[in-house]
Amino acid sequence: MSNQADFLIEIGTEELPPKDLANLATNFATLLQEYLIENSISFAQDQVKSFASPRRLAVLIPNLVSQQPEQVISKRGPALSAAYNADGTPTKAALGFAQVCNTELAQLRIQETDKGKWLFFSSTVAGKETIELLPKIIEKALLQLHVKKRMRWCNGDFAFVRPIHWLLMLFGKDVVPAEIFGIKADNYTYGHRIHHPQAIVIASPDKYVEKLEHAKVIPCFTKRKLKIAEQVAKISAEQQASADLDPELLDLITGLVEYPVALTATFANDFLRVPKECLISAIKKHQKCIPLLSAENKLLAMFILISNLESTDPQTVINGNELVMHARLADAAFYYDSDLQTNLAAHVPALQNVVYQKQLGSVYDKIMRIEKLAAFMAKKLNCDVDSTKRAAYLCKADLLTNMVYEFPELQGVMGKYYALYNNESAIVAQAIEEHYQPRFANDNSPTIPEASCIAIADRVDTLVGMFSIGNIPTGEKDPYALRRQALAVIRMLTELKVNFDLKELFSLAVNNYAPAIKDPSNELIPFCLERLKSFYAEAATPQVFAAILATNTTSPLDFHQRLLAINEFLASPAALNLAAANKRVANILNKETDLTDNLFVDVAKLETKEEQVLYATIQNKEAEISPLLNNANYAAALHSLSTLQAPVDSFFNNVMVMVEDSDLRNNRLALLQRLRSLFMRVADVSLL
Amino acid sequence: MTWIFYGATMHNVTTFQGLIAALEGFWQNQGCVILQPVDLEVGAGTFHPDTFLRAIGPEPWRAAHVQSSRRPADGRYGEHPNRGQHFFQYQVVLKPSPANLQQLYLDSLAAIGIDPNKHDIRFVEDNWEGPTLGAWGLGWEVWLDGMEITQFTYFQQVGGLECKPVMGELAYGIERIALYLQNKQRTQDLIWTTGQYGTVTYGDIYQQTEVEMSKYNFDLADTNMLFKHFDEWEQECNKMLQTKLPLPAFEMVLKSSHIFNLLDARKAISVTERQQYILRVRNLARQVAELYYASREQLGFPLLQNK
Repeated sequence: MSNQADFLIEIGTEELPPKDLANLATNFATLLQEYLIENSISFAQDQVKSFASPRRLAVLIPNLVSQQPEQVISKRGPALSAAYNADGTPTKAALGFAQVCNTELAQLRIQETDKGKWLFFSSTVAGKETIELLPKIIEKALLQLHVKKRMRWCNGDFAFVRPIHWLLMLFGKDVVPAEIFGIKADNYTYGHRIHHPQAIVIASPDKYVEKLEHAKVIPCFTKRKLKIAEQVAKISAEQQASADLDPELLDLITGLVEYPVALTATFANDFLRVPKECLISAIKKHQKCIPLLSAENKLLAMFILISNLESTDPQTVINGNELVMHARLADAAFYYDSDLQTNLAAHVPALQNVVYQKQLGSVYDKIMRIEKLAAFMAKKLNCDVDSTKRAAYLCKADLLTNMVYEFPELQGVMGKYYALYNNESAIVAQAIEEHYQPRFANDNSPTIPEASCIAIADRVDTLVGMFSIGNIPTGEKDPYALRRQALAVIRMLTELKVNFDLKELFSLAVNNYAPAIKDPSNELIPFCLERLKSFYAEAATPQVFAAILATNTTSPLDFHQRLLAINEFLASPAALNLAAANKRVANILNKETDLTDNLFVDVAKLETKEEQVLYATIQNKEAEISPLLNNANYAAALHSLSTLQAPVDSFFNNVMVMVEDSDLRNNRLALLQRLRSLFMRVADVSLL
Repeated sequence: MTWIFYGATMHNVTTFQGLIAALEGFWQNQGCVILQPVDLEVGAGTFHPDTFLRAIGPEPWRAAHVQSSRRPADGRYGEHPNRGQHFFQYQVVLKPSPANLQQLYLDSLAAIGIDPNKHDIRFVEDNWEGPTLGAWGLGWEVWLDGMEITQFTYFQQVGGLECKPVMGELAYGIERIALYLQNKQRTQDLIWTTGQYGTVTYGDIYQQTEVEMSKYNFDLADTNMLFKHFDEWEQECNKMLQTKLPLPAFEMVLKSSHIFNLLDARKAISVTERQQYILRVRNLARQVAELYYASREQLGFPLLQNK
């Protein structure tokens, strides 16, 4: 054999789980590479390919060297002090070490480190042949492979994703002699289960893909995926429709076929009376088929199925799928019709029997609390309070409908449909649907304030409840997605453009609990401020964030407004000097640890002109910015404060603060305190 | 009409009873013991003692039989095209699971007239778990042109005990298969048999049952009585466990399990309580499994001897 060759391994299995398929193959390839590198066996690292289809996992490693290079073995023995006796004779430890290293004491060297001297052995051994090392490497990779659930089969002790049937292992043109999981490696694979059940000999790794494709198997996951997408696009174009094919569904389908053949099927128009979300869920989730939508985004009575066969009679496959789809949609229609028999509001009392959280009562208790908090917010927002309360009352009622029981992802959506059917107002229906938003990081917030009130109240109630019973996220663990919920609250409160203080909301939410719960603000407020920090990771520098944090504001909107003002202010030429002056003030005040807050400035003791001017300016500014701050016009306030630069500068240039006379000194410190608190009403400018 | 020959017998698989006979013929040829259904209410063939208990321990086992199955919550008052509170499974168990089990299964489909070159047959991941039985396995639901027609499982654990060797289980949904073979839309319209006295359909036999049992299961079953029965059968089961009689004890597990299913269909059990009831049945099943294993061990695992 030349000194390098391509290596191919294929594990032939029974049908693998489609969801994990792509990951299994890449994970297998990664592990193989890792172990080859560990054994210093080189290969073309940028050309490694993995393959995955329902009945096989394969990896191709090009240009693998056939011989492991010489291996250096080094071992550290006992410390020199423990290696020889006082008379210079070797100790048992030294002799033992030499024996373990299979050498004479004289062959050992001394290694010096800053921690001392040690006996040291090093030697080189010839590398092994790669083909000899491969079986162990493969076996280790298969055992380490990240598999959610392994299974055993027949009488065997080994466990894998699914039973293994063949093992193709070629190094160049040679079969790697190996037996793994009870299967002997050989040079053949199998094609499509139906189209090409016979064994296919693979003469060399580079023939693998071509031979399999000829036998109606597309082993490359990505290629198969593209082929499905192309076929779907073609049919959609023919039908002048758009396919509802999300990436997750496409991956799933790709994991279910070795040779995709797309077919178009229909269902009875009559089912279109059922809300389209229900039909789409049935089509995608249950049947793993692809719904088609019209240009107006209406569902068509048509779907695409991806079969794994070039059927001798495709119409049979279509008919069969239509039969099943009919039954599935009949189920959805049954749930819908039976749900319509009960008024949505009639489910609410039964929510008393649905546990929300053992220590936090039923879902009914929760909606009672949501209703109160949402109504409080709606009043302050000046939106429709009655609708908010009604929607809050109904917001979880659909959890008891048959449709949501069958398709949990339709919660909220079904609530909307059933509310409309029961003649609830459009606002109520929309608020029921939207109160689950945002569901994930980039999801839309609710579009109407009534929904936002409920969305926020729901999450705030969850946050205080969970924190009060100690369900606080730690590290990676956040089983109730509380981080996401806190972030959603911050985001919605910022977008609402009305000031709500988190402290106030939390306190109201805590008081809504009966029996009473422990007030978790001490943990919950810092937790939310951390979320706020990640919320502003891009919009604010750490300095700006800290400058606002120092004001102790806990209203997300207020925080946001200050932030915009400061970012704007930082672009102005006055910013740097003003920050420096504030820093100086802060340094002086911070050194005086005994200083009490709110010292009184005695006008009679303002000796110098500079002091008098500064004091007068501060008083002016206090009056000037108060109305600005009341309107959260922080930008104007900062602009106004920037004119303090001149009096502050001349104060520092001409007045000595830390004088002997303690009365005088304290009066000057009081003046600086007054100055600092003036700025602090916007932000701690000294931190910028 | 499709005729299938087994030995001297000829089966018309386009009738429901012909389909059953053809499956019996196929699995008989594979050396299976052809059994009869268990005579208690069960949700699936897995609850048959000759599946559940035979999956335990080292003894080999090959058996096949029809099992009438009850799932009270699946009732549709006889109005659904293919869902009902009562249906049939064709149950096949092979222990140890043969290496060619998938192929055997496909051969069995061919034997009932399903041509794999024509139909899209797919093995779709389905990890089976029987929470009340403390049992789980990995395998697939088998799709025939998109319809789930068989549950295919390699048992890994039963009654909390590791399965070694592994038992392979095939549970054919024979109504669904018959819908294909007979090209019918509704289970009720399936031809059960046709002969010199005319045609009898599935609906002729079971439609009234579906309507009445749905009413009972969903609307009328006396939940207080059922809760009481559940407790009583649980007590009785514990007594049998103490008396070291695993087989009667297992019957009581089946009774408790069915009562639980009825209460569930009546929505009489809250979400939190639900888990408690499941655990109670599982706890019994686990003890039965252990006791059964011990009893077989005491007998020297008789089926290990080749007679």
